[in-house]
Amino acid sequence: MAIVKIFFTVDIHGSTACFKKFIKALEVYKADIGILGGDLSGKMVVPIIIQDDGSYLYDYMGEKILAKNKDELKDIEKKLAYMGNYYYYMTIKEYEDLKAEGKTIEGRIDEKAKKITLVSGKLEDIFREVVTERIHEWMEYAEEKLKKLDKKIYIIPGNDDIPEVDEVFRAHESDHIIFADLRKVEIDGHEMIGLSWSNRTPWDTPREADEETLWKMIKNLADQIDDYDNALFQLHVPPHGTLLDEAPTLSDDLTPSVSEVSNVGSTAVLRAIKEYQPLIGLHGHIHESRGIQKIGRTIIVNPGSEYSEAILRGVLLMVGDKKLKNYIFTSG
Amino acid sequence: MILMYYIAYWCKTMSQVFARRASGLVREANLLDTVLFGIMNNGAAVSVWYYITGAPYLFPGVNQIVTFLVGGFLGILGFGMIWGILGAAMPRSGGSYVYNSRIIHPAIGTAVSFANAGFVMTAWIWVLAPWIADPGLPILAGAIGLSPDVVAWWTQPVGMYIVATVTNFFGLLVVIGGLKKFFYIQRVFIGLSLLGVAVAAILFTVTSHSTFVDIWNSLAGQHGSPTWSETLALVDQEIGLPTDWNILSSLGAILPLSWGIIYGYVISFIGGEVKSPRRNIFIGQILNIIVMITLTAWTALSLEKMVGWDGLHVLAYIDNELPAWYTLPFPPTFLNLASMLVGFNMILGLLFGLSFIFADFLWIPFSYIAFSRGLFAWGMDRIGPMWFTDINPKVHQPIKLLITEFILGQIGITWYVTSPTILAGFSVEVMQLFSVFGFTALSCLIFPFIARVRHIWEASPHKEWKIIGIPYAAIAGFLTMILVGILIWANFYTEGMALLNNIWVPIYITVWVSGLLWYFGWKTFRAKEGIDVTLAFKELAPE
Repeated sequence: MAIVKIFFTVDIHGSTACFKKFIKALEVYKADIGILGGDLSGKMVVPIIIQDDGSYLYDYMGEKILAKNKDELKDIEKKLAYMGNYYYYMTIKEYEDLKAEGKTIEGRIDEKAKKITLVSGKLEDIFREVVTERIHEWMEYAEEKLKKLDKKIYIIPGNDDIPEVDEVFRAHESDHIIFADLRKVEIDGHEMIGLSWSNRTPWDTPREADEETLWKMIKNLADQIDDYDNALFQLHVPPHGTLLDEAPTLSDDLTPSVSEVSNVGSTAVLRAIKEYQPLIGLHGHIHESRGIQKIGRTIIVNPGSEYSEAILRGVLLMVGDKKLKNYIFTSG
Repeated sequence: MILMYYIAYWCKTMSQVFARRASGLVREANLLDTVLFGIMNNGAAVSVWYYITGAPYLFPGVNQIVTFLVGGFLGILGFGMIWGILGAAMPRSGGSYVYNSRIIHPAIGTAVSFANAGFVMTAWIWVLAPWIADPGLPILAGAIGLSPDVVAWWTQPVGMYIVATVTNFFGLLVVIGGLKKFFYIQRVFIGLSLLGVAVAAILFTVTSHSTFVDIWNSLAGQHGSPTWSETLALVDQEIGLPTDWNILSSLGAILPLSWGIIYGYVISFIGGEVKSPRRNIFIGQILNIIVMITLTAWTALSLEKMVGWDGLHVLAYIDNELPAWYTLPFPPTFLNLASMLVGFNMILGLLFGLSFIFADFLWIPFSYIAFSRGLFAWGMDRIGPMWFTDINPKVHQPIKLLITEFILGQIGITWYVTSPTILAGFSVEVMQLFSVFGFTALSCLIFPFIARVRHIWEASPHKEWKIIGIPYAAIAGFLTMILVGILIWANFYTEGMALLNNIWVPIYITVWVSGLLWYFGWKTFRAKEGIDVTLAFKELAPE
């Protein structure tokens, strides 16, 4: 079996810069294939408010900035997209309505919200629109570039990705873009299973399940594997109690500690790694837990993420027959 | 199908963005956390002691006001500013490595990391673990009113070796027990340590000179030690007390002061976790220095008020030399003097005595963490052997690296115990001055002018900060280089350090060159394996 060079990255959260770098990395790092392991959706929409006099007002990293016309906004649109944020043009009335919608949420509605009472409405529509639109743009960009490079990428979503993105991926499946969630795929002689779901988080994100359900999902996929010695498990959430799943401890009001860390990975994923012993486990989810570790014969990796700085963190893996021949973590 | 739900979000500045519910949205440290993190790593009780015992002893004729003003000016407007400006421009976790590898060169970043994580962290173990034995135990014994004979054996080579080894081993155990345990211990220990310093400062502030002299003389009578006026005369006879202050000593004293104000730079290691990083990293880097310099100045100046300027020199001399005629049952550190003022009250005495030991001990596990994390990072970048990234599956720690550090620490401790005059604390700091702080100052100085990082500079919140057209980043870098220059000069200025520097400077240079050789050696080796290590740092253009 020939050595295959795989470039793996994860958690780019809406950053157009990171996605384009991911495609570029296949060429620069001379990788045979690319794997994008989930959490592609961004988290914030920056409203660009159309004022009565035709000027525009928006927030950029805590600063209120006034633009006289749309030409002045070209640069900021790109910057916001590169950092993983979305933007949305709206009138002051629409903006006030959205703010009011937020206020209907019970309890605190700032970043320290302990309990979030669920609402739906206009904001939901806006996010659905901007998230799917950006992924659609990325897929078109990728198809064009990958055709020229004659390379393939495998994509799964993550727990932060809304269900609607699956349809966008499926719509763009081709010889170069393979949607790999909840199924087994072949990568140059290696079988790979993909799972976007995570164990429960404090944020109640779109794809979460309890550990028992998660185990059943993984088992259902893993039982399809014929050769575990050469298999890749691309499970978005890392195994519990490892170097790859350490995150700052959160207080009751979700304030992070700078001095305490907790293991927040999945026990179901840990069990799967221990019982099936695949060649490699590819994980993400915990941005600050960039690392590599061995569990039995399985090498597990988490390349970490710095998407908000438009920095693409990844790992280049040289995978041979039943062995990880070499690897290097990248940051570009 | 799971419905998507969103929340409206606005931050405290009332700037308005909308956020959907997504993991990690609130994972940020606030300003207070950031400042405290910096303060904790300045090791309050030890650093204050180091200043009070070091400044008048190594730099007789020190004018503390000048020291604090110049040190504060360069520390706040130079040193604090460079870490604040670089941290706000590149709010990532990773310390100076992030700034230096980007602005200067990855090889420089590696060499700095090699010197700091690979060498300095081991050096801190071999210096600070023996310090638990001496001066730690005599300070503790004296503070609770015990005779120094009780701990005398433990300050001799064999006893000191045992104490340092046990300390080193406990440092290892704390880290193996997990970071959570370390950070818990750190909070408790530093909290008590800061309390000890603050109580001492209050006592000095409210105690008059005559009251202090009365208490001293009373104790002297009990233990057959000279009275305060006799003590002054004896020291004057032995070393000749300075009659007036001088500027060189006042500048030189910034060296011992620096211990208490420059180690808050570790905020740069948590840059990626700070809320509103462009603002809070900057403020945190400045504020922790302001707090520490205020605490140190308050303690030292109130002590000077209580014992007099001559008295400050006399106490520092006795603390360092322990002349035979001095027979009071405690070293005259500021902590022991505070204990003396309250009649060696057991509770307060324990607080004072342990505040030194607690603050000193914390640097041992911290060194293990920094060493293992640093070498682990080299391993991930493939600039080191594969086992650097091995994690023990049971304790989830890089046990091999930790044990390596334990062994290196023990070798250093053995050397220190047998030859303490060579392996002194100041020399360890010089390595960091040359390496971490000097290069980071250079990075900040050239930051506005380097094309490779122009895009980062253009997005920096401080790019508009200018004085007569010169970017403040460059000015802060320059001021820090002056500070670093003063600190390095101070090491050569004092007679006591000259021998050390003759030994250590070649070692520093060797370590640094070894760092460069390490980088290029592994780069060549990996290239033969088909791995280009420069990929780890390579800039990727999006298009």
